[in-house]
Amino acid sequence: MTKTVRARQDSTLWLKTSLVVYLGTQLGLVAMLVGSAMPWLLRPGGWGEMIGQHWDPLAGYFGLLPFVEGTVVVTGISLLVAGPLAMAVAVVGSQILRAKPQLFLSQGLSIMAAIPSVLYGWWGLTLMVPLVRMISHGPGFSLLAAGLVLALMVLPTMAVLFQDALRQVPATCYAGSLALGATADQTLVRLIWPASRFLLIRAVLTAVARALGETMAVQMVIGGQTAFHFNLLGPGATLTTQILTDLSIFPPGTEGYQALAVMALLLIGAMVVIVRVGSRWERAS
Amino acid sequence: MWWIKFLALWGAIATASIPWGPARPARQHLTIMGATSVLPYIKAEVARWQAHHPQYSVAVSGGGSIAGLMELGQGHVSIAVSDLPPKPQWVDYVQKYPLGSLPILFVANRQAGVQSIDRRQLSAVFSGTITKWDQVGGARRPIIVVTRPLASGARAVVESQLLRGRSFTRQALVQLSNGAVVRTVLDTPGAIGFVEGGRALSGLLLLTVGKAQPATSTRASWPYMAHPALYVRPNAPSVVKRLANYLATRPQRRQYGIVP
Repeated sequence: MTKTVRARQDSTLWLKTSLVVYLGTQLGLVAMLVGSAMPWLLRPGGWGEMIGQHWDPLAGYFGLLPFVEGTVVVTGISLLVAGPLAMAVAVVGSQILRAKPQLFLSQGLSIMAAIPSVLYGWWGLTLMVPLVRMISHGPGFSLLAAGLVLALMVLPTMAVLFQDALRQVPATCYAGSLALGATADQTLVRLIWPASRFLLIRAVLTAVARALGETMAVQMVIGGQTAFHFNLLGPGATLTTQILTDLSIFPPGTEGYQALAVMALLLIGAMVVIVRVGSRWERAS
Repeated sequence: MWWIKFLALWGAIATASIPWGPARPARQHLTIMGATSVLPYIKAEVARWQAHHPQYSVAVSGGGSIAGLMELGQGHVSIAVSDLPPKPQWVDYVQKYPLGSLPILFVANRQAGVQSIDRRQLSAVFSGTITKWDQVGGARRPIIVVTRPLASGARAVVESQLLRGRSFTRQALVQLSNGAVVRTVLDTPGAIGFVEGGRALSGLLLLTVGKAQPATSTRASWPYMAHPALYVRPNAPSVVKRLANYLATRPQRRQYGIVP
């Protein structure tokens, strides 16, 4: 057996071992959550309680709707705000700027994406909460403030991915479209966006995944209120912030612990849906 | 393959870092966890204790009273710090080292316009029955209640001593630490909350409750007191008990608002 063949076999073994360890860890985590959540889901009325509006775990109320609503609303606000801004940054970065400023912008976005979330939370506490307080004459801690902080957090990631997506369209297509008399805007909307739509959608899904999982920055500005309401200017909570808030009070095996495991499974379920949608879109393209 | 070489090098470095030579006395690790209210005192005194006991390393972390007791029950920490007496479902058979008393002070934002409130009114404010400051003689402004999470010992003390069976309003803001409560009440017009004593409260209204004057130096005139204590397992190593005893008897507690 030659040295090259042996080295290749060794490396294959290492890779397989690493893969098994990785998958084992991930599946173990999911299995632990499923095992913890199962008694709660199997008891009579468990599923019904999941869509309840009242969360008071010490009194036996485990309605998860306020947290599901908070998660959806905060993620939605962040995408609505960050999406257009990220697209603007990406268009400027990929189509308009020259090479040097383009590089500067890319590096800036990478740095922004790497800033720890607690600093975004601090920024939210200093700027966003007072701003919302001024508008609403309420506490300022709100779903809106959390959504805006999250928007700032996902914006750099989204902009970098959008930029990469737009760069996939060959420059000759762009030049050809302009030569045929189309304006730059028409070229963007009718040629570049449709041509890169798969990568653009994948960028949005990545941003959704990041927004769904964010905890610390959101916790700092959302207010932690467990009441169910539709007021964007009022405080609330998300699945992740409520897990953070209540995890330390429930020992394993208690109903509260089981309910928190269900919340974690809901988040994982949402991630699975995002990945499935992404891959279905990929196949369709 | 370059990365196999890298792994081999990494393994060699890791192996070299293991003390194979003559046995050095191993450092023993101790962990303290629980109520955040007395954490500054615990951290300061543990640092002093460690200076005289270099063979021990002590990790101190918060998490709340109930979390500390639960971790003690599961054998994950050496000492739990709690404002609450332990319940059997958290931990069984513990030895208690009382630290003293810590006043729980009720604070309001300056725009509330109220300096004094009676016990029933305060209870109604926290439970959400009274929702505007003008209902208790203050400004025409909605009341925003700020509380702590369920794992907080201070919250449990307020629920038992003030609310007496009622719950905090579900409209309350929940902040994870004493410091976050102070900042939120300070910045939010109409906010009211509670903090455990021993920290600077400038800029806030310190509420008088009925005839009781908020006091940080004596327990006689103020009925709302937490009683933080250290808890260890009866079969804990003697060094753990010595450390608990050291922390429970230091006169420096007063500097941190703890009334011996």
